[in-house]
Amino acid sequence: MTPESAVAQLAASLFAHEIDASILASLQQPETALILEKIEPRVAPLLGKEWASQDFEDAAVEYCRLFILDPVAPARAAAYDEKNSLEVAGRIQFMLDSGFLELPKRFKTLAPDHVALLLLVYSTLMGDDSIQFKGDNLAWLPDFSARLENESQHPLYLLAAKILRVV
Amino acid sequence: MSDLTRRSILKLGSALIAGGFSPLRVSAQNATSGKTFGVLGRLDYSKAKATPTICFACTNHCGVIGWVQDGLVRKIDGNPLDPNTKGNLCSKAQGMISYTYYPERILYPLRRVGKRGEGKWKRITWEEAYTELAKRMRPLRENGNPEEFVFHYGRDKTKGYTKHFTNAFGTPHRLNRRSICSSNRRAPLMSFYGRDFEWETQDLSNTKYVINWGGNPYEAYQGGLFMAHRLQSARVDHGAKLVTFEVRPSATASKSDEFYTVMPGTDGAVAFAMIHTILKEGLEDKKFWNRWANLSLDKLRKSVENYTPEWAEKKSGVPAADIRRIAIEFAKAAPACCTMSNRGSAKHYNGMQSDRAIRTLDVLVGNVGKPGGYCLSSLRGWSGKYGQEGLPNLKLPEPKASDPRPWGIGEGFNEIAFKKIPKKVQDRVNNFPDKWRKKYFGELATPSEYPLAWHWYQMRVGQLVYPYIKQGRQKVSVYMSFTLGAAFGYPEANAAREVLKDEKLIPFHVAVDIGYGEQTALADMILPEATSLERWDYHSTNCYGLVPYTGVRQPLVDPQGESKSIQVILRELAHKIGGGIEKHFTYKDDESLYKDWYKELPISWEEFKRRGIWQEKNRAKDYELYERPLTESELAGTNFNAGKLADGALVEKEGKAVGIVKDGKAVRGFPTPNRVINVYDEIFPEAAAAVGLPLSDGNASPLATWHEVPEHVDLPDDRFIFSTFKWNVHTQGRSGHWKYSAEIIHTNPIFMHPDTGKALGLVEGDEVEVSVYRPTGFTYRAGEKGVMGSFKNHVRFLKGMHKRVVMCSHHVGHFEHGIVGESKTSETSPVEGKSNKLADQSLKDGVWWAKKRGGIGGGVHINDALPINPAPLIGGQNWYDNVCSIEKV
Repeated sequence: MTPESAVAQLAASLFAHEIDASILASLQQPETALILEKIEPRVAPLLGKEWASQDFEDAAVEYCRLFILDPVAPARAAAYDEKNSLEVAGRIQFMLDSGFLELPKRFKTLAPDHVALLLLVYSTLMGDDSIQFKGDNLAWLPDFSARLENESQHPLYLLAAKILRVV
Repeated sequence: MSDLTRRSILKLGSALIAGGFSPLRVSAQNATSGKTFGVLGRLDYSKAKATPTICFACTNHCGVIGWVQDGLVRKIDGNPLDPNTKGNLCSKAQGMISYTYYPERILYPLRRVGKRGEGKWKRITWEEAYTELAKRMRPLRENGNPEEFVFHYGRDKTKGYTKHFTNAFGTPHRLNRRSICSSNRRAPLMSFYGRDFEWETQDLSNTKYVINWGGNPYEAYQGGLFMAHRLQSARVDHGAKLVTFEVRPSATASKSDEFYTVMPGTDGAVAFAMIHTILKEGLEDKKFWNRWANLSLDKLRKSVENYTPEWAEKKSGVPAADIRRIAIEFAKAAPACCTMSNRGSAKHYNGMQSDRAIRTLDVLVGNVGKPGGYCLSSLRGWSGKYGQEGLPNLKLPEPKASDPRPWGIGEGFNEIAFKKIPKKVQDRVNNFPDKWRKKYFGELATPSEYPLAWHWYQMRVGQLVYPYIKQGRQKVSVYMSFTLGAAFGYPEANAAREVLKDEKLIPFHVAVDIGYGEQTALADMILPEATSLERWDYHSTNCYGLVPYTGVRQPLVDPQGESKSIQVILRELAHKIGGGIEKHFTYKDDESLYKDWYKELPISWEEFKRRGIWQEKNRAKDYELYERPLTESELAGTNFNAGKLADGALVEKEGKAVGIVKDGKAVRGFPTPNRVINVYDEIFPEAAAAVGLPLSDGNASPLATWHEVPEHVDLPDDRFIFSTFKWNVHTQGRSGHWKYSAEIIHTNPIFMHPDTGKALGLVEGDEVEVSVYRPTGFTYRAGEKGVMGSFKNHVRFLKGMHKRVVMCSHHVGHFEHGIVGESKTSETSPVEGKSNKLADQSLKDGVWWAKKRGGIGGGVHINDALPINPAPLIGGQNWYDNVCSIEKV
């Protein structure tokens, strides 16, 4: 796995589902946490403590507000690149239906134009393929990132928005 | 952020790897091939797969073909095998794609976290959802209170599946919105013909003359698409004439050969004057009338003697000479002529009686069941009933659950539930005749003040559900709303929201829906439903070609996210609740269920799925079903003995009339208890007496009569009648988030005649405040003084409007419906390296009509300002009676 792939997969995980202990553990690795705190200083208190169940619930509620129900920052191509979103979804669905793409369990019920799925596929690509894939399917990422940064009330999603800028 | 560089990302990635970040197990090895990227996203008909299904974008349910490419539905076409549409299609069908793929669709079960209505939610699993629901619902059955589970739907086309669940659970509360829509319209059909035939089915292909009272088949009407192309063909091919009475230049009115603006609530007056004219001119079909109507022509003549065209002109504004001429033309075209009516005539205090008058016209000229005339289809259901003889018997194959017991005192009644309702209501019900006592299931399902809402079948009075819950007429423990938009679309929707917010009145609300809206916003749990492109349904409706057909809704793609069809949801819930309910849900998957449902069709399941439609082509058209002789097998066990029964005598089997003797032969007659057409019906005064409605009220009359809408009497000059209408591209408020539809229609100006505007000192675009008053007849909160509700909106002038009428559509102005539905956009911070301006990021290519983008906005919600106004006895909402005043803002 390349460093770029690891970052793309981290972002994919943050958008695919609510923050769980596994993701949190990755984020709280000392070296990782230090870098993340530089990117988004407001995450420091969250990365420096043991999360209580209420912390997870707060993050889950924010995830729902941002991405699920009447989402203020929908995480799908259809919300930003309306004209091309069916094509984007169609490419992913084709890959799924054709057996080219096998997904981790928690990605399986995402809409095919969901950013997490697209980032996941992107993370597997190299060179020109990755450039072409990003151009074809993720041209809307800056819009999504900006919207998320504007709307998020949770430091970890502010962080996610900033990471997206350079994915 | 300046320090967020590619270098820092590389550092982050390296740190993640060093820290043991677990790579996701994704297998995308072939994704790197150019071949994969080369998949053409645009629809390619040579690659796309076409599958027939049934549209669910509105109530028509047209046969369609969905084109699937790359696992997604890309386009909807008409299915030429559908005998109703003949392959025609309206724009709403593409809305199914919109609502399947729109980015705000609900895809996961959700549980409320904050206060109800606060908007705080979290995802839960289906297992968690079922477990909580079962925990709340199971004790209701175990403790003998299953009626405290209330199922309330907006549109349910599962053809009995949801009733199967409520019956299995033991609750009679499967509430609907029929009174919101059509019960004033259906009651006359039930009274006249014994069935509402899922609407009448005019033989428009062969008609020569149509008189239309407030129907709008060219735009929005049940069966509208099926009717519009037949009507146009008849007009073009053989010169059929269409005459429309309307309060506004609807699409149908505008395209009619003649269009008359009519004062709201006076359609019946015009119809009566036509009856008067036809009788005076001697143009009635005496033979048909005397053979099939249950009233003598003399009595009819006497009842309409004062309803002259001149009288009708004074009431309606339609010139007497035109009324007289149209009546004569209509009668001379018989039997190839027919009436048509809908909300324009029926959604009034006097609407039921107006529609009875209109129905009388057809009987009077003898066009009923005749080629080109007012035909009655053989009904949906395919259960072998009236007119379905010889057709396959199609029925839900699950082990049937029995209906709940009626509520009352005595053997066979549910005394426990009955004794919980208010004493005053108990007393009223105890005094009902047995025929009603045996149909009474509490105030939500069978409101005792509206016995004709459930005398024929259970039409309910949906707009009173929330006030009745508030009044304590029914305790509710678990309330399940299913594709219901009452919190937005019902009259006094604010009253609905008030009850839905109150956790004492509704302790738990689970909403099953595809999209987020005002109703789901007030739930405790939301369950995501599969769309019509992702699910199965049995389909059957009346055929405008008059040969019955059936079709199948089948999934074109898998449900998105974790959504499930209502059938799957109820089945899985039943198994989780247990206690015997699960025994009624034996099928493991939907396709097996529907395959068995259709097993009697004479074609294979695979062939049926391939066609999507089945029709017995060689079957005779449903003309004059009432004249068809009873067959030998039908006569077996009856009292019929040729030559022994007098003409007009009933042919009975096991105490039930199955036919009538005509000319010495046993024929089917009509599916009424007396097998004839009930132009005269004592059920109306009987119901009036039972609920205390004065017999002087027009609704109590056994013979159709015209009476002015109470609040329209002596209407002051500064008062107007406020009315609503539907657009052709929308399905009430439910389609607000359908992008294609919202782009076309997204606002709802107040239309008024230019002269009306001038008199009010208005110019186009002015904002006005419309204040609506409560009605004054025998109805809910009648006569309360002062303004009931008001709203502000801008004005548009429209020639052709009635000058005393102002109107706007009721479907927009959403406040909980997502970006498109609410026409909202937001501005974000500048995108680094892209722009130094605030950027609109919400569907940025799309909501160009949002006010923030300088557009007209998403319209005004008006339903809070429209009073709950059920018609006496039947309960149909009198949407078009509202009296209002208008002030320039």
